[in-house]
Amino acid sequence: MDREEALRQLKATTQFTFVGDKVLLRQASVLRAAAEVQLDAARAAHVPGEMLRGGVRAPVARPTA
Amino acid sequence: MWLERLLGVITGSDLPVVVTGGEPYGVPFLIEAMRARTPLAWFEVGADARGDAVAQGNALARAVDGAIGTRLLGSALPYQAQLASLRHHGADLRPLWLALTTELTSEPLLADLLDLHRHGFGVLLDLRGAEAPPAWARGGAATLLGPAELRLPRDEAELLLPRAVPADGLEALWRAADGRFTDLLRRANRVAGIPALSVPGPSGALVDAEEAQLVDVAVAVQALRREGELVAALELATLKAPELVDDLLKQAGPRYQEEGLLKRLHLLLSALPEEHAHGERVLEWRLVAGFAAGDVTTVLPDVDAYLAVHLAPELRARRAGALPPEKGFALAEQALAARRTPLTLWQYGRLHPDPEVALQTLREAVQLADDVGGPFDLVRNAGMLVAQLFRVGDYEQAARWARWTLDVFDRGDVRDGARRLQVVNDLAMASIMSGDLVGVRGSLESAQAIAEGNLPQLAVLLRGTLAGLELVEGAPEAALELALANYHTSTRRSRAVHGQFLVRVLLELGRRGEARRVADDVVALADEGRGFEWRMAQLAAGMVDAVEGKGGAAERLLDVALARDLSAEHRLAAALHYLVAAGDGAVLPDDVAALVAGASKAGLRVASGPEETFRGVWGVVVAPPAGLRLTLLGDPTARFRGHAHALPQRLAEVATALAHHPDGIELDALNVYLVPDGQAPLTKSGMRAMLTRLRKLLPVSDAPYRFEVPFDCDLLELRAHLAKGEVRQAVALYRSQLLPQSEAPGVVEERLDLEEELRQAALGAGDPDALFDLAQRLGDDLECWEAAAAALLAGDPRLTVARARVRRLAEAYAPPS
Repeated sequence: MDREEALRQLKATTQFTFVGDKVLLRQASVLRAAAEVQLDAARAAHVPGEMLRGGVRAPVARPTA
Repeated sequence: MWLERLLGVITGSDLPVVVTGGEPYGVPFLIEAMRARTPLAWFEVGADARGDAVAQGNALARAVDGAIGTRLLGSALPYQAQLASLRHHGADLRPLWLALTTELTSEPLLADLLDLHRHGFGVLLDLRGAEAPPAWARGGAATLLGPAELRLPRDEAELLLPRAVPADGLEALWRAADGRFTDLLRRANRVAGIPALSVPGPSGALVDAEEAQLVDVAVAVQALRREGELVAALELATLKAPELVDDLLKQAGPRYQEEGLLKRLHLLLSALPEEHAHGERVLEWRLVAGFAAGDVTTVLPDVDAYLAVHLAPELRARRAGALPPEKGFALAEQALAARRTPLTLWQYGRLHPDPEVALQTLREAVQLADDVGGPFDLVRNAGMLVAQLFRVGDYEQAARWARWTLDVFDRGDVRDGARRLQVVNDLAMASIMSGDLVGVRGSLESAQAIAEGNLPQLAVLLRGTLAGLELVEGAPEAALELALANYHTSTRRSRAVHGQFLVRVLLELGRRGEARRVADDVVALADEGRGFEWRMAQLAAGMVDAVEGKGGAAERLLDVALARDLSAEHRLAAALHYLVAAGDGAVLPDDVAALVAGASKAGLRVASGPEETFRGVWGVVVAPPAGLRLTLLGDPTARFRGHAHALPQRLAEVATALAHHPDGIELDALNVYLVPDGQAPLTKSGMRAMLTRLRKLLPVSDAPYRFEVPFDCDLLELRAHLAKGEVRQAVALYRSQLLPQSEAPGVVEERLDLEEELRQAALGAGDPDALFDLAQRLGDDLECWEAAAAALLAGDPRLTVARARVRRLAEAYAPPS
């Protein structure tokens, strides 16, 4: 199938609504998952430098009495 | 009030209900309220499923399975097949409502759903984009609810709104919302400082339309993937983030395949920008989807160019399947040499010309799929192993593997309903050929109800299998109807195989002239260059010659029997007819002799007949059938010297007594056996007259009365199986109670004893097939249904039936409150 034709058919039948580069979502569970994805990304952006470089710190041992 | 009033209109309607006005008028809240009160399957058909009967069927199936709590329908079937299944199981599903939310008012699905109402299902169509009902819904076809009926009156609004809304503000809110339920609630929540509305939907709650969020596409793709919405995730990625498609296809490709959505996948992948369309995984799925859509012109050159410079084992294995067998095998061999994966092993085993090597490879393919593959790899590979075992004639192993494959489906790992039906057919055929008939008829008839008229290729297979069962169970007329349907709808190339089976059935019925005409037709139409087609035509012609005793058939039948590329079933037919054609002293080559020696009684009956012609040949393999054969479970009949006689009840009672007394029964004892207490015994002359009637049909001695020839009797066979603990075989023989209308004391006692012994044996064995079959025969035996429900796996469609019967019988047997 010709790409242009496929794209035309796909756009005519897609369930998604786009505004610019973003997609409009209403499903509550998907929005919650999207929020988690963003949160995970934000956390990843703030991980200690040695983790990003590949070295992972050893877990801190539980103090003994 | 508003809700109660409208629910009353909907649930009280004698017609299907068509609602317009959609979300603003509160329709989702109405459907959700119904769902809380009554079993209701709510599904949505969006623009992406326009004209796609399989996507619509998937949505319907998910909703129904969710509503009834068991998996009845599965995926990958057109909605028409799903509706056929609902009609077939209607009595066990009702009361059940189907609610469809859609903007597509011209899809044929809508009219078909309206029709389902005639079969006792509640039907509600929520046409959310429409303000007025379409023409097809008017004129008394449906109860119509539109904005006029859905608008919330001022006095009812007052009772619905949150207390925090000041009384003097209500009038203004109501007017602003114009009585629209959802609009009014949204405004009231805002005024009252309550969080925004959550709107019910078929696949979970939606945030209020005004709270919908714009989300970055990559984030949305990730979110959909986390939620398991792989179909939607891939569509979104294709449109706006094509760089994510390759990675997504790892999970989404198998999902599209399993859901029967490969044509949609073809559309998606055809729309990819050039720079994202040539990765190895993308090419693999473009090839799979292209084949399903019948459009490979673009993808084949791309795949071949890629394979010219890359090993790409899995892509290579896929490509092998699209080539003629010899070339394909060479490519599959290269793929396997490059890497052993579930897919490369499957393709190599599938295409290998040596059946033994193929079997060994497919066993390894299943093992590897179990170790490292996904569930879809597992059922694909196991399905091919079943087919190969069937082909070589190892029917017991084929049935065992098919049963295991169904378990993989039914544990809930795979949703592909079309593939499952194929396995159901393969299991039935292997079971018939190995003579294990328990559960076969029920599963075949359920599958046929789904496939007939909806899945043409599968319907052909199922008709052929059911026809085989009819032959084994001595109903050649029923087999003829099915064989004729397949023959008349066959393509030219499949004419020979359907013609061969039709010839087999016509010969059973003694219609040799017609069999000859069909055989001549298939020989004339067969292409000599196509080995399989040509051999099947030769087999058909040879069969007629053999039964008619014409010379010259033996040689060509032996050629067919020796053809190792044919399935064992056809080679067996050729061998048995060869033995008849060649006459006394004929010797079979070793591997063909092994096929014949390993055949079950049922297998012999599928492959050859009629009995008069083949009795001697069968007798070499299995104990020769006795001259007299009595069937007392089911319609009582006696078959003697090739003639079947229906037995009137009194004669059937006498035959039962004689069967139980092989050494003879005296007149007085026979009187006690036949005449209930308190009734006048039969006079000697009356008794003699009755025996004279029986003697006109069957050989019965003078007193003490007994059959004068060796006889077989299903009742005694069943008892023999019970004595050996062979519960499946015993249940398979129990077609009905022993002479259910009879009040003869000997018969009544035997009937009750037999039923109870069979029940206890089945309950003790816990075999799901035997329990389900027996429960169906007994009808209202709660304990049997409970045991069947406990034994069946979660995804087995029979579980829906078993649970419904348990529920209904438990209610019926409950003491009045």
